[in-house]
Amino acid sequence: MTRGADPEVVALARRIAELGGHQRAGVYRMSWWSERLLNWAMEDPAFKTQLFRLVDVFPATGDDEDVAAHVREYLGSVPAPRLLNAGMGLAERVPLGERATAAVLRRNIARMARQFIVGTGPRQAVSGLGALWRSGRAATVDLLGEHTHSEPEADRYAARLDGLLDALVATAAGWPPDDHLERDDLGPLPRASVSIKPTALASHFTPLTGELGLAEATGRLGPILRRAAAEGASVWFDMERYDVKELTHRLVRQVLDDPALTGLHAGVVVQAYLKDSMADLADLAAWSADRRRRLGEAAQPLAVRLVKGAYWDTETIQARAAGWPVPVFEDKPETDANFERCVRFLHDQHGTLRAAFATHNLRSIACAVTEGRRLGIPDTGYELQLLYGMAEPVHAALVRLGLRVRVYAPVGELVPGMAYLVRRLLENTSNESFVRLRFAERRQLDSLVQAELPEVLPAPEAPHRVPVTDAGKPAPYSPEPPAEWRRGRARQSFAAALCRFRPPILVPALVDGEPVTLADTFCSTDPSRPDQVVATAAECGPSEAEAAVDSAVRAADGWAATPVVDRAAVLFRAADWMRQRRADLAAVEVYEAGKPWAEADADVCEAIDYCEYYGRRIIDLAAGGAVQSPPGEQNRLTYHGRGVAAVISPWNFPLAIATGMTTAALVAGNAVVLKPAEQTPGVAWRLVEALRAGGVPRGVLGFLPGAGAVGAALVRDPRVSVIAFTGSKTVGLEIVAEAARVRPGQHHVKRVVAEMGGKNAIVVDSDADLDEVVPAVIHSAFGYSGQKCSAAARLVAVDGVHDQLVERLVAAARALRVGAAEEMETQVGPLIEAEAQQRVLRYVADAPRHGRVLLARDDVPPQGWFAGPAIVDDVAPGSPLATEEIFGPVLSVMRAHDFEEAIEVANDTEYGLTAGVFSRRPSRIALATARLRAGNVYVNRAITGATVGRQPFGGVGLSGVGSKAGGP
Amino acid sequence: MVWASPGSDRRRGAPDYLLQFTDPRVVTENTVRQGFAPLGN
Repeated sequence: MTRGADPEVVALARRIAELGGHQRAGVYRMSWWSERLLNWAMEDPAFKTQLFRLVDVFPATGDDEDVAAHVREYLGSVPAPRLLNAGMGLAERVPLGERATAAVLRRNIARMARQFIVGTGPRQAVSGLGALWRSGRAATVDLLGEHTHSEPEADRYAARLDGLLDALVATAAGWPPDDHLERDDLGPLPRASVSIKPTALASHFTPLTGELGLAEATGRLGPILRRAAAEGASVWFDMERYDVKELTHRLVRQVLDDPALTGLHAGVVVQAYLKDSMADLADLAAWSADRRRRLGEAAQPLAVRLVKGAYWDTETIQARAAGWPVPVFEDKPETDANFERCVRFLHDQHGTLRAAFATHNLRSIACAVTEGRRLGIPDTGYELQLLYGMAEPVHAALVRLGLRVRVYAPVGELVPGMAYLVRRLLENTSNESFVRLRFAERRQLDSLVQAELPEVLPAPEAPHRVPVTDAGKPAPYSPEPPAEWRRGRARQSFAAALCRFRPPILVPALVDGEPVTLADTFCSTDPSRPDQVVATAAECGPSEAEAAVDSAVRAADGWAATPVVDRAAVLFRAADWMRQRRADLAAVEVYEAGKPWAEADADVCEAIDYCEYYGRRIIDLAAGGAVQSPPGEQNRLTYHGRGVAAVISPWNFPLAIATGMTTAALVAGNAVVLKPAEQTPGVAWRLVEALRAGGVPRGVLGFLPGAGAVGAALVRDPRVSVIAFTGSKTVGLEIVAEAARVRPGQHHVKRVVAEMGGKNAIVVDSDADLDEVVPAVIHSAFGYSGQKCSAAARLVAVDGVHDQLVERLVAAARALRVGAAEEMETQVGPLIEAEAQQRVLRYVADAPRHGRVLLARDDVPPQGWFAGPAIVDDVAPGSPLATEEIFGPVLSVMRAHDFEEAIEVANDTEYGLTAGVFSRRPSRIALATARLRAGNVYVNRAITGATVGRQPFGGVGLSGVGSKAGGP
Repeated sequence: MVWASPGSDRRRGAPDYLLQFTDPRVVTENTVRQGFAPLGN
């Protein structure tokens, strides 16, 4: 069902186009050079990608040679306009060529930026704003800036906002009166206006730390908003990514409930591309009406700026990668149709809400005006908002039509402004952009404004239950979507699971298919509250190991002969069992392993992934290997279980790694005896329950909680033919040595599958985007308190970025919330046990001998095995901080003169598990990926969080020293 | 003994990880009887 445009709307859109028709859109009034580039970008998507990457990195480039190198690498590989080729050719042949290329680029990019940015600071901006005012347009000013990852950065944003408000109010007082802009049918309107980015106001403005973020943002906003109310300025709360939508709405309501802000003109943004935007509008209308009942009629109606939405690519990419429902309409016409639906709603609420419509689409604008007129709302009863420097003919036309126009005007430096510029350029060259279609290609207006729009729009998707995988015909593998914390229901169901958890879990052994309780037991405790017992487990010894292997031997042949599909089905049913109680399983990890919410949830997801992935993989393998069969001969390559496998699992991914090793061994046709880490028997028992629920036959799975002696007995047992181990290098090498001995009665050579530690490095190049580097390094180094074998323990920064990066990192690490794992806001939880805490504290105490300690946080809860994040700079090569695996929240920073040296420093280790590189120069990325010695190399992202089936995980080299706690 | 650890390219979550838990076996069958073999085997 589709619907064409209303004839009145078409007529008005035509009129706007006629009025603006004699002008050219501003973006095409740029230099001839820039215009050629953009035109080329529109014609050639490959060139467009490269051009935008170049624009993105440009502010971070250094000298002329560096600029020229980036130009060559980005644009040298794609057909480019002759002009550019000439420029690059020049760079190679003429001594001053590089400088010429760099100068041309600098000038033109600055010119492009100026097109969209009203000024670099408040003082430069106000003259531009005055000019707008005199041309009949009000404005709202947006401060461009770096992302906020720390409290000092949030303070700086608030101070800039304050300064901007000062400058605006002072200057606006001198502007000539303009009744058209200063009044609507509901009353007077302030001249000055700012748009606020909530994420810039608090370092904790994220879904899980939202309560902290709200408090921080509210604290900073209070004085600013009171001044705005007193001095007569309006504020708009910008809407950014969907991740913070709910928080932004909460912030607005929280601050506007202050009776001192009754008279403040404040507005919030609703993005029409969101499937739940209509519901949000309804909530806002109800809230605004209620607020006026509570605070009195003097309370200004809430303003709502209706936009299409600027983060469509981000939202779709993020949701699809995570496996979440996509929150935005996936077809552009759906967004346009929803915009029109929202227009009608906003006009219906005129008086309760103040509407602003922000779009450059002539049909959408004409629809807003036409619908308003039909309801008898005066043309000045709402605003039309347009972006500074975009679609300027539309600005002029709307002013001439007597409509009330406000321009969204960004202010800021070129460097942080680049993200904004890239978004504007993308819009100007997008295939679906109205701006491009109308003003660049001069396509027929009518076909655009008369386009059919869908009548029925997709509703927001509710979470649906995933059915158990059919082993007969499994759908393609896709990872389990992590919890979508930005939705209240995800947080609530997790909190409920934590409340439901009733310790202690009684953990028996499993021998010959039967749970066995023993007189000897041991306890696991909550690392956040060590006096709290989480599980009481049977303490197995060599005799239980003997018995478990006995029954495994008896069961092994039958299991190996079980059809592959039936073995896979056990895994699929176990996955389903886990999926049905995801939050409850994660809750056990929160209490027993001290994992903060997101880490615990991710571990359960990964466990499910192993079941789903290996279940499918064994079905593929059963089809047989690729071998040739000549005439007269038939060859078949098949794979068979080896007999009995011993699995010795660690505590740091207590469900995922235990599940990965166990299910791999099982589904390949082996009987398995699992010996879990003694710190986390309760979580491991959940795996046993899952596999039993999945129908693993008697004797095929044995389970032996206990100390290292049990593992040693399994390794020695001549009937065990495969040993899968994840843990410390020390234990790993002991296992290797022990397994190599062939004992009487042993008819096979034992195979050891072992994974050990790392001292992983992230290399940061001079042109890296620090807004991206800071959170990635923080997450890699301090996530789960650094207790991941993939964690970043070393940071190698080249001279050009070192100081700024380190300053931002330290500030960001200082803001991390350290606390008990069960608290939703916790970003850094406890270490696993007292020994680990002592070890980490020892390294930190020794750190001044090996480097410059920039941060060593000791503001941690007194109870529990906490160690605060630490950052040590200028760490001496060869020192323990540079070489030993600490397995805690300690980041060693090293400086390199250039990129190649940085790679060498990163490689100067015996370990080789993960490594990371941040660079935006293609040749450097290629160099790093070729030379970094690691099993998993990550480019421009965090180095932890490998996903099954996407980043197969494991290292190279013999992982060296270190005392990784907990590996049995 | 195969030392498949840091040092090998067998990865958890990788397509070839399972192979470590198996013994590969090849069966070769002579399909010729009296000089005749079915085509296309």
